[in-house]
Amino acid sequence: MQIKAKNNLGLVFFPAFDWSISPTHPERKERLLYTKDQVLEEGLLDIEGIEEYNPLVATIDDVNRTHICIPDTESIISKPHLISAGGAIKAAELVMQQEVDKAFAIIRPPGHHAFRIVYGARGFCTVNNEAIMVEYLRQKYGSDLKIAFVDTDAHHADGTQNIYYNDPNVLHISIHQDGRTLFPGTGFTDDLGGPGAFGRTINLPLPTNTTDQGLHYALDNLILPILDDFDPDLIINAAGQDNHYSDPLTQMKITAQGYAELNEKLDPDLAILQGGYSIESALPYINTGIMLAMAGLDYSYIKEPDYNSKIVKQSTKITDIIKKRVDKLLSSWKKRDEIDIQAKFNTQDYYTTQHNIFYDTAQIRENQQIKIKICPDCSGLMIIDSRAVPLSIGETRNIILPFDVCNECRQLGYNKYEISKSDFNYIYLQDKKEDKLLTNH
Amino acid sequence: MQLGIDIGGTHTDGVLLDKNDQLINHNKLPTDYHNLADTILSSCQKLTSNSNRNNLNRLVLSTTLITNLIIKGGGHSTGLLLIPGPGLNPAWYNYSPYTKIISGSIDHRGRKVKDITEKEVKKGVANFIKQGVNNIGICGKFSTRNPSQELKIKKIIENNFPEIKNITLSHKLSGKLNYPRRIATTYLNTGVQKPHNKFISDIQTGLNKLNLEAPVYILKADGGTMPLKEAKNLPIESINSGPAASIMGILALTKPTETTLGLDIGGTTTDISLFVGQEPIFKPKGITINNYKTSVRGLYNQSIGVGGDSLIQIKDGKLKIGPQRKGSAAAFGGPAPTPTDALVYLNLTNNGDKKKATASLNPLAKKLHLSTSELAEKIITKFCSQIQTKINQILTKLNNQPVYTINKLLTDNTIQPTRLVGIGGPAKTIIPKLANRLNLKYEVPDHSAVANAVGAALARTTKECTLYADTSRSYYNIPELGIEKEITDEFNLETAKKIAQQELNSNLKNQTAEIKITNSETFNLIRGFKTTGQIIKVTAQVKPGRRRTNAN
Repeated sequence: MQIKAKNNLGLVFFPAFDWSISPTHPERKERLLYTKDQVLEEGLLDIEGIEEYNPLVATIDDVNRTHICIPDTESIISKPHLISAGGAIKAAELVMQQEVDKAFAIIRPPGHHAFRIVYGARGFCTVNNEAIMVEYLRQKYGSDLKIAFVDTDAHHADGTQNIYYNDPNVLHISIHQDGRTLFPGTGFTDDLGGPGAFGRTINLPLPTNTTDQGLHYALDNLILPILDDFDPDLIINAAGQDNHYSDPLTQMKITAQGYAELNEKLDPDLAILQGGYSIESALPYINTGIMLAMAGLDYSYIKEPDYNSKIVKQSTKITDIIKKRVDKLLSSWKKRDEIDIQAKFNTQDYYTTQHNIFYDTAQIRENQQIKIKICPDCSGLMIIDSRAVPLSIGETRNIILPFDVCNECRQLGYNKYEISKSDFNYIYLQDKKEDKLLTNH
Repeated sequence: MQLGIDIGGTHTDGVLLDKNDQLINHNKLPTDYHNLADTILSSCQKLTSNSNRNNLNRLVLSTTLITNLIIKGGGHSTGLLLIPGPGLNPAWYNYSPYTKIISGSIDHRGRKVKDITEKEVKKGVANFIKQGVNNIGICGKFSTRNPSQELKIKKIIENNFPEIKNITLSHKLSGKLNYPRRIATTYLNTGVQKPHNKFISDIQTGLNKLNLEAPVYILKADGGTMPLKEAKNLPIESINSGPAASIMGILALTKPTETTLGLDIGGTTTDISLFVGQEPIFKPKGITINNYKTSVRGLYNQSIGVGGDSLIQIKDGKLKIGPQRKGSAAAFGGPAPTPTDALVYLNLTNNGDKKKATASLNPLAKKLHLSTSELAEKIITKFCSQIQTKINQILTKLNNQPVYTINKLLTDNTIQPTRLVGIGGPAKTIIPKLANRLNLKYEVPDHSAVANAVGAALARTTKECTLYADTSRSYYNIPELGIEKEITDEFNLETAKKIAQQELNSNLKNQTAEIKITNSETFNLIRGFKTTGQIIKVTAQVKPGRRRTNAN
């Protein structure tokens, strides 16, 4: 076999065979076993231009640059999380250092349900691997890097959305099974980003039983045109594989071919594995397909053992729903910069919202009040007051200074931090520009 | 007593060792490529006498026959029957011009997904025969998990085409997952089978004439031996036995006990090997020969194109050593200056004509505005630094091999050699200098000129097998040994290890083997939040090493 990849592809393949959330949890030791067997038997790693790498171990500082872990990072994060995040960082570094053209981090546990504030695990995720990776890159290579996420997991990427909701240099597109039918129950077309990054959050909920047809309609008519407009420096596919027709946790009908073709068209610089729990019938084939597609090689012979060509046919009702949503999103994308922010958010100083966040894995309920300052000079100071039950920590205050923070917001942030010390036992200040996390305990 | 014979590119070295492994006799003959069997037999004849032939316990051959056949493309035409199922584009498996894709497939857990059709097989084979091809290799994807389709095809051929005598099944050659490598290995093995069998029967006939009845073994790429009878089906295992003999020679002559770098400094190249503890390490995936990536297990060995006879030139005002070789060193009548000439000039070796060496070095020294002795020193330094750079590259690569568990990722298993051993012509002078640069202890053993033959003579029989058990599907198999058995839910990792060891042991028959479990993994199968079974993987191996005295 004398095959050469068109694109040099780096694989950070780390199945963490000795780690699970719990022995019978879907996120278990066995999860990538069959993928590894398939990849080895196909001889993918012998193809010239496909190279395998070990993950790095991310540091606590890498985590603190992205998250605010409460009460502190050390008590929430363990080595497996740092390795999974480090796998994403390694993949990104391979691309940035031009050692490879593209990289695919096949890592676990996944990350896209982890919010900026972290009390524990939710949706099998504790820290957001891809956000930790992006914040690492922006710190190292400049915060003006334009990043586009395309999250194709069946679940709404609520964590990544939360972290980049008000970040003008990061476009976050999530396509997922409709939140009315699946965890986490969010991700509707009206969520379009905060006042500092309006229009740069895009959610396309897909009806249950959407097939390759619906997925590719959305890709061709919404995602690719938007990416063309946004013109990012890096495209990241948060590659969840639980849209597959055999996945036990969802009700979608995507095939391995559908996933591979998506990666061919999307042509991402980086793919980071998210969920996907049909570990025998789907993952081996989807992962092989994604690798070939990213390497620029023929994937047309990949097929699940139970594949049936009828699977890709989709009802016209589903098609119509998707078309309508695509049209709506496309028109709001086109108008994104014409919007009067103060009128849209109905405020002149702070845009305030309330959020209830449920940690299904850790069984924690969190209530957040998020205040974002409407600022003409930067994307705006952010203040998050948060309380989690049944934890006994009490209310915490979290002040976030964005990368593009202006002097006024910066001063205001540090003042608030000092003043609030008397009112909060736990107060945090995350200064992106200075790359530091302050806390009063 | 034992005989070891190493057939090299130009010379064939033979050694006779006594029962305490001490060298009694050795010789060096020119290799006659057209008649390797004769070269071997005359080496045997010269090493032994009529009186001591009866006391011989064994004869081990390290031969380049198969390596050369493959490199020259001299094997027989081979038809491939492939059962790839879905996956990579089957057109990529373009090993043989005679290839037939058979529909049928097995999945990653060894479940049959699609049956093969007899008609397709018959049509394919009939077509091969029509084209004059009667050697056939059969390779199915995941056949190591379930060989039934390969076996079924073999049966169809035997029942319908008695004229086909030579069939290789891929699952018998390797228990490891890697379909393209298994195809390449099957293809090469099938093609060289007939010339190899002729070689074996010539040797047997010749040895009978010499009244030499001791069992004969062939050295394999993994530094172990296989009995001649087994070698008949597995000629491919004997590729790369030259470097393997050299590594086993280092092992036999120096008995490494710590992490050791081995260097074989030859005329054209320097071969670098590694020992961790008393064991040489393996290539991670398998040997590559003539651009074929195979699944043949081989000892780790990296060549660098600098040796004692490498051509020295000045390019862009800089000294350049190798990778070309124009002939022997000027001091030995060769046409151009070499590192050996630098050693001769500096009186670091007793042999060679110093005048000739000086004459070859002088023009270069002038060009670089150096004295001849400065140049000679510079050559030696450069020679060492090129090898040092390669060693560092090797260590970096080996120390960054992918791992799949958190435990392994966080455990520091860095290979850091503490000792250097060297064989080959210039080793006596070069090794101490190199050891000094690398800050290592060193050793240059005696008899290093015949190290390869000694290595072959003392190598023990090696064998590997992989057991794969799936308790929810109630079976285990060991593809290399052709074993498949039903099991119950009670089957566990400990049982699996025991069985792998027992089966390997009974396969080796008369060797008192030291069988090690080199890999063992177990995974609970969880379906619907319940454990429904276990997948168990075990690899058992007799590692290469010195044969124990009084055993085969």
